[in-house]
Amino acid sequence: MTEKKAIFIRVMLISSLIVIAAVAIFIKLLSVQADLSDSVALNDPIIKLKEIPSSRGNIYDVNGSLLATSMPVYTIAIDATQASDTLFENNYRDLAAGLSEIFGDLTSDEYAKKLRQSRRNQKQYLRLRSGVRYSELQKVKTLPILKEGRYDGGFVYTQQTKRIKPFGYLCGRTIGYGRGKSDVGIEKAYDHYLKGQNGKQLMQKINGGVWKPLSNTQDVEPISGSDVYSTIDIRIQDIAQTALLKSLEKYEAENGSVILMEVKTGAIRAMSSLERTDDEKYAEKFNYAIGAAYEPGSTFKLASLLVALEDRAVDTSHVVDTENGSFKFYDRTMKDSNYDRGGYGKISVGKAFEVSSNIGIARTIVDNYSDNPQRFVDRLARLGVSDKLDFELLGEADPWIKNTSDSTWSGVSLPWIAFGYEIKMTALQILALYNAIANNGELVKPRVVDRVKRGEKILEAKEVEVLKPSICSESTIDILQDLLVGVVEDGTARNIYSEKYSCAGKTGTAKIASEGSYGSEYRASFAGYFPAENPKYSCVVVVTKPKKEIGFYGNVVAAPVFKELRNMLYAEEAIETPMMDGAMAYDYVGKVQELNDIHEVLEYPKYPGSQKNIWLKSDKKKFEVLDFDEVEMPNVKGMAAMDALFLLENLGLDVELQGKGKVIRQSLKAGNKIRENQKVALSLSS
Amino acid sequence: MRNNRSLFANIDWTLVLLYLLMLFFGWLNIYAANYGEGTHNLISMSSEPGKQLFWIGTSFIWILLILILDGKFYTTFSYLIYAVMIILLIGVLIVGKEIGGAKSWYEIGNFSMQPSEFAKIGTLLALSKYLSQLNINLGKFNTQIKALSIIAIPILFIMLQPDAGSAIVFASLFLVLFREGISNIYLVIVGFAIALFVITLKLELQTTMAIVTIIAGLFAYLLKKNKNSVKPAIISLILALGFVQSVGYMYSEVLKPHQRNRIDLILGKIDDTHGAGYNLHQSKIAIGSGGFTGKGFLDGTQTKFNFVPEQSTDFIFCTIGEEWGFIGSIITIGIFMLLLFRLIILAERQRSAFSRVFGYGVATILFCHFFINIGMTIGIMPVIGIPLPFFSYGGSSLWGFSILLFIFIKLDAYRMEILR
Repeated sequence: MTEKKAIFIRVMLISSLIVIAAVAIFIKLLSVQADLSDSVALNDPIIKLKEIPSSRGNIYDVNGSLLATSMPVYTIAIDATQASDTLFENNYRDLAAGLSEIFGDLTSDEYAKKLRQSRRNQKQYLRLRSGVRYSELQKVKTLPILKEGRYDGGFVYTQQTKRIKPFGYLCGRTIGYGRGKSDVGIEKAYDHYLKGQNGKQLMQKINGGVWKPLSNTQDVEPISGSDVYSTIDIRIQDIAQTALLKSLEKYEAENGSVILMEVKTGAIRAMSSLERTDDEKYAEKFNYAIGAAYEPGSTFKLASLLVALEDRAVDTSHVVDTENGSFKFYDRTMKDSNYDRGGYGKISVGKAFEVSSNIGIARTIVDNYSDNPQRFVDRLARLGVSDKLDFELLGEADPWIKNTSDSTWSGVSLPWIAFGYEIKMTALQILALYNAIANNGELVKPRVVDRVKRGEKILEAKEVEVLKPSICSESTIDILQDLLVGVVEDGTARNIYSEKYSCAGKTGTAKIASEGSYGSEYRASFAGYFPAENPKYSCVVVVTKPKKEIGFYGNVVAAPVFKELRNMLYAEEAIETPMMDGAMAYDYVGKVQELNDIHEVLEYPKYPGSQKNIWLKSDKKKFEVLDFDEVEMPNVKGMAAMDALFLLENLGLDVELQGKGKVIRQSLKAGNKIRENQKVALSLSS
Repeated sequence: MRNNRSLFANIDWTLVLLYLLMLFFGWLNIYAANYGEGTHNLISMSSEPGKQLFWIGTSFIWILLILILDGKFYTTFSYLIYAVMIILLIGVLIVGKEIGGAKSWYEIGNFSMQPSEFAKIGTLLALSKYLSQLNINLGKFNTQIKALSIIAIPILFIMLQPDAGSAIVFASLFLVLFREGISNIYLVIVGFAIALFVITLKLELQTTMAIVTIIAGLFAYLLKKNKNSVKPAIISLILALGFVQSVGYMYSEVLKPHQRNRIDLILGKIDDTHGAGYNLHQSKIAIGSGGFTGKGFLDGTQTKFNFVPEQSTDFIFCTIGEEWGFIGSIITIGIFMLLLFRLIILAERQRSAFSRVFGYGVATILFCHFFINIGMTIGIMPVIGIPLPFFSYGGSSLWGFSILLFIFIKLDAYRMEILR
């Protein structure tokens, strides 16, 4: 009996022990969770999962030159409470000296003072510097105290990114700006590809509302953005922008824009808009090329004539009386530009187009459409000139044609529309029309982006988008093409004619309407394409408000920009044109052997020099050694495919990859001279 | 008494249900601890929740095996199993894989096995066998030494790994001896030793020794008429002073700095929320942030992103506290209480000493894990890395605890067939 009782007591004791333990846990839990005494949860600094921005994708030009890229920059700080007393006291002066040496913004003593104060005040976050480059960060990591790391040294750093445009102002507006209120350009239009996906990191809020990362690694890795390859060719862009700037400066114009586009594909190779700034310089601020719709003036005569020809209302030999350069439609007098010299008199419609006779074109249209003006307007609309191109960059302005139902439609509307007033179009829309003529009637959509890539994988490849397979009949195209050549050969744009470099185009000189009436300010323009026979590029130039005293005609102010682009591109790309009069109207560019072969066939002298591995340019007699950078093939063996690709494509090579993984073989030996677009095959293996 | 040959005849369904409930709730929390943005397919063999499902499945195979085997098997092979386990404990010191400075794991292919989790079974079987002999008398010194040795041998090898947590668990089996009638004096000594241990660490060594001497003096004064007690009193004093001295020595010379820090933290001697106290601090934030009702399943933020270290193993209770709140924590504690008292009740109804000792052993081991594990996450125990039974992620511990529990369930089901 007593034994049973003794056992009972022991069982009770053991049970009590369990109960006491449970009660202890219960009480402690209550204090931790219900926050009764410990108040751990309340007093603890707030901890949150904060977004870490991903690194944004790059933007490249058509040749792989970097147009926009992101560089990581860092903000470095120290938690002055973390280091032990000995570590801090013995080393903070060295740390200060190191920081001063790396950044040079503060003296060693100033840094030392900051550190000492923070230590005394138990400051948990002393920002040492922001905008620190990666190489600087690596140096900072070796400094005393900081090299002990996050816990022992209190070293804290966060990464930010900085967007950089390696070509500076060139093409800035087309490339655009991302992540701001004024997002524009490719950065904006392709933001969804470029931005990637943000990562996440646990951050702790400390004194003064500063967020401090809890570790130096990220909890959810950000996914970097994809790369956008633009159709822009930075070399052409440079030429275009320089030529435009020259013209704007020469004629002290208010603003201007130029677009150069590949005829077949609608790929824009250069697009620049410059405007005068307050300090009398020119800068790219607004994309006038796509964002400003204006009355085009004479460049629009192309559309008018196209409609008339297509309707078989006239042919180019049809004679129209332009009288003495002045003609009255109802109450309004229309003048030709040579009015002061007595006008053109009776001329053919074709001639009227070439010399840009307003009266000639207007009368042609009025004679045929005055009984039903709406038919003319509808026919223009069918060309697509009143439709938006739905251009991929933000801000395309709406084109507009006055309709007969418009309350301001009057008897003079039809003749004025005929030569480009009472309608509005953007430079890009005009270009699209001229490009369609160059492209034998096929209207393609202009574009600035070629493809989107993620590493080697193409996410999106833009294809030529045909808006209208044929805007008019082939015979009309042929006539118009001849007329546009005529403009340059015998017409208003005679000043840019070149025997060597054929081209076609139309000038425009439009009065600018302000407050309802046309003053004496002008907009000079030129739209055209080259080579005339087998068009490769189309181009539009618009210069607004050149100084009248210096010059204001389209052929004087705008056409030279076109001419400069034409000449440079002929020279650079050795665009082939048929020979005229047995003369060689263009340069040949090639390596010695290649050039000699051609010269042999053409019975021209051979290159007298003995060098073999150089590039030459010849204009049938004279040779010019081209100074291409002699680049050597690097060794890419062992590199990751992406890195090798990046390196070699940047050197201008045409890289072919076989397999996956790292490079094990390269078809060009390291050290060999390489030239642009040379093919190189890389064999990969994982 | 008719023999019911069904596998599940006479088994205690309360224990089985509690067991299944804990497995389910535990797995949910392992899933939650691994859950985070960017994670997908958590139920695969490369993820912890997926692996844990595998461990749960294989535990059921063990259970089936245990229920199939005859109840006599355990009494018959107790010592053999014990011997094998001891060999495994020695083996791990030689061929074991060192993780975190301790050689506690066998590595077999992709799997790791922790022999100390299984040694508990062997030790408990051997202890049960020894104490269930006829005419065993724990009042005899010889018997006491033998019983204590059964416990002490595995502790010795485990300390060599070293794995203090497991050693403490084995030491807790002393409670079983207490139930079986070992002299009260041992309990008093153990109680005093723990008290002295804590006081020594909390106060300075000299202070403690002075206090001990004064207390001894007081006792001597009170007992001055009883001449017979003078000698034991002096011996006690010398032993106590020696103990305090050795604790001081152990603390400063044997313990590693991180272990010292953990003890100092609990005793409130240091306050460090970044270094040694980081785990505990984060653990308390996690549990504390759960509040009364918790943040909800998968909605915890503190236990994710490797905030709380070992979140699915030793610190799984953080996930419970954060996502299920005070209510969830209390329910978890309640489930353990039900389990422990059910075990004690069942142990007390056993006819055979073997089953009773085994039952108490299971209860003691589970209690020890329960108290130390949860205690460390909320800061009433130092951070000692032992798992929370049936909740923590890990194959060895889940197998070990499942086998322990179901051997007892089998023994209990078998109790009617044992002659008294």
